[in-house]
Amino acid sequence: MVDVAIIGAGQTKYGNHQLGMKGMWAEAAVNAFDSVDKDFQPNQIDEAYIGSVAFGGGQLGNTAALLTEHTGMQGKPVRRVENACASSGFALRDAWMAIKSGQADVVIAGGIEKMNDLTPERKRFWLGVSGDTEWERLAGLTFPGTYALMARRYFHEFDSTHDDLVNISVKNHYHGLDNEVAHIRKDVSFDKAKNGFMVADPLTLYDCCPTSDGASCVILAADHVVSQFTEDPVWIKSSAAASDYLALHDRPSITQLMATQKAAKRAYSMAGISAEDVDIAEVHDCFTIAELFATEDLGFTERGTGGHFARENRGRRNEGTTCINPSGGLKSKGHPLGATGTGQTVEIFKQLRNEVESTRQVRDANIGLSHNVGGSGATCSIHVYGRDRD
Amino acid sequence: MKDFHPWHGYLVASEEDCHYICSTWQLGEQCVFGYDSDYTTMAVALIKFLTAREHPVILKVIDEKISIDVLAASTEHEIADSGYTLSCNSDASLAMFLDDAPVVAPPTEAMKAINPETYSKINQAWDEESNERNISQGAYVSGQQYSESLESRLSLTAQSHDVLIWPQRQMDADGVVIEDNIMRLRPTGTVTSWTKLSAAGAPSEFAIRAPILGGIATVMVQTTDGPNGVFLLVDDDTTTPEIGASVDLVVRRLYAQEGLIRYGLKAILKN
Repeated sequence: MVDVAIIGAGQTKYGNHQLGMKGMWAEAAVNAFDSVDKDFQPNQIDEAYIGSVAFGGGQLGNTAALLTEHTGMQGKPVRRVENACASSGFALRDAWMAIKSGQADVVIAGGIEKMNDLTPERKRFWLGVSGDTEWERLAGLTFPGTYALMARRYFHEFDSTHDDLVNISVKNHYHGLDNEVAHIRKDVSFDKAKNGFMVADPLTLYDCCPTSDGASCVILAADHVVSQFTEDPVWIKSSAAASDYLALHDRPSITQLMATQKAAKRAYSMAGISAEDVDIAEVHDCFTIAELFATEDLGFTERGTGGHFARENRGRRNEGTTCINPSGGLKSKGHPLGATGTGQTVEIFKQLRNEVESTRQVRDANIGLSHNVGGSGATCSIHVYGRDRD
Repeated sequence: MKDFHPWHGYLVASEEDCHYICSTWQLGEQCVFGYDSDYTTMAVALIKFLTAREHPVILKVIDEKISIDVLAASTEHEIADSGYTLSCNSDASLAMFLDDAPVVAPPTEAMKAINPETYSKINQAWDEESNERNISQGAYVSGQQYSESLESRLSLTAQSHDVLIWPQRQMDADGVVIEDNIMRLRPTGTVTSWTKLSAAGAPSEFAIRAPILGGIATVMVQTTDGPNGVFLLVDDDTTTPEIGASVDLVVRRLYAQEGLIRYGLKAILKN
């Protein structure tokens, strides 16, 4: 079966972006086009998959058609992919499958979200639409609340306290400090993160990712056309995904994400690797407790030891075996819902090609992983990347 | 009627053919509703008090201030040509009687003083939220969707399918259609986790009331019969839960949308 490589990747800066959706998408797409080593024209693209929640509802229908007509892809088969915060992780998977199936040779996967030009009330409505509206939301829960329930239960079941989450927040802000596209670029001390404003007890402001504007875009190519575009591709060694019950109360356990565990098992098997082989991982830390879960569910540490992993700074750049969230993660880099998944891929692509800012380059990274979660774990996609094709 | 019993956050006095329930809150000398109570929630509590004691409830007249739909979905009672009259008083109390309406004074010694400012603001907030012209930015649970799951929401009706399943669903994880083998879960359980959301973190349907209450508290509960659920806490501005605490699940107001008050179960901590 055909192998799939990434030949280009680009994104906007995350944060309060002055451009609207069309402008942001164009910026990300052009950055991706320009990153291709050899000549590349957008009319060479066969298909496009764009992840977005369409936050605010401004262009809820035919989002992809509108965006791609502004980036030289008019007439191509395009569509919006929606799986909450995992929208573009799944767009990437769909793009990968389009090439794997033999129906396309060059495919765009991207994502976009415009989150910061809404009134506070409208914003809070849209922040809640991906959770279980009928039961959880009428019990007062948005995602800070659901992850707070998970965190408190985790502290009850295992040897861990909020201080472990503080360590994760401090690490991710440290990683994002020199990332030019990060939303929040500031060093955060342990004390400041520990004593932040309480959003959803026990989670403080420093446990929660920001709401960001942003767009991201990656270009995939089939093995038989890769050399037309680059001699230095990053190969997608596996793509896997899974789902789980939407509402927490339907799950057997709320201290782990089964969708992550199922997808990880398939991703490692397909790539022929184990968790120990991963050098860098962009994991979905919408809340710090989500990163703690991810370190366990992805197999970087045993179940119940995520607190120790965080306490011992084992995910810190160039200090542990696997660097967790070298970009700063959602916590520092930001979380424009639909753009986050392929934004993670942009980071892995650049890290593996030694193209990020020198101060934050992870040394000798050959295997990367991205982990994109929808909501409180109802959906999850995982991709494994490598410098080598085999 | 002298002997009052604490019940689901209210006070109940009961004799053979005459029963009375009132709020635990007072404003000056006046018995007033708590922040998420009304005559409907109180009527539900009174009928549940009686049925828990195996006292059959046959109603002849139901005061128009009480939602018949909510009463039907929440309690086990009959409606017949002869039976009790369920009548609301001018304060936060109501009575259920066969012949004459009793004259009962709320037991002030067992009641708590409510914060006048908060009480006033909450009432204004409910009025604003309940106004049909108030376009809620809250999660849209349509009237039909709300009605479809009302009995499950208010009476914990579950499916018996090897294990008990609540809320109800169509198929199990193996794709087997779950038959309508319905039973009601006991409205009791244990807190397995909890959080208190700041007003800023609360869903937008609570945007008017949450700032007044200083946030809203939610508990995850494993019911006595097994299934889990998440519920708002009753009087959440004054209570802090703990994992392992026992709760009763009681009917209260949740929020209002498009002029319709939505009711649901909330958790009340047992002493």
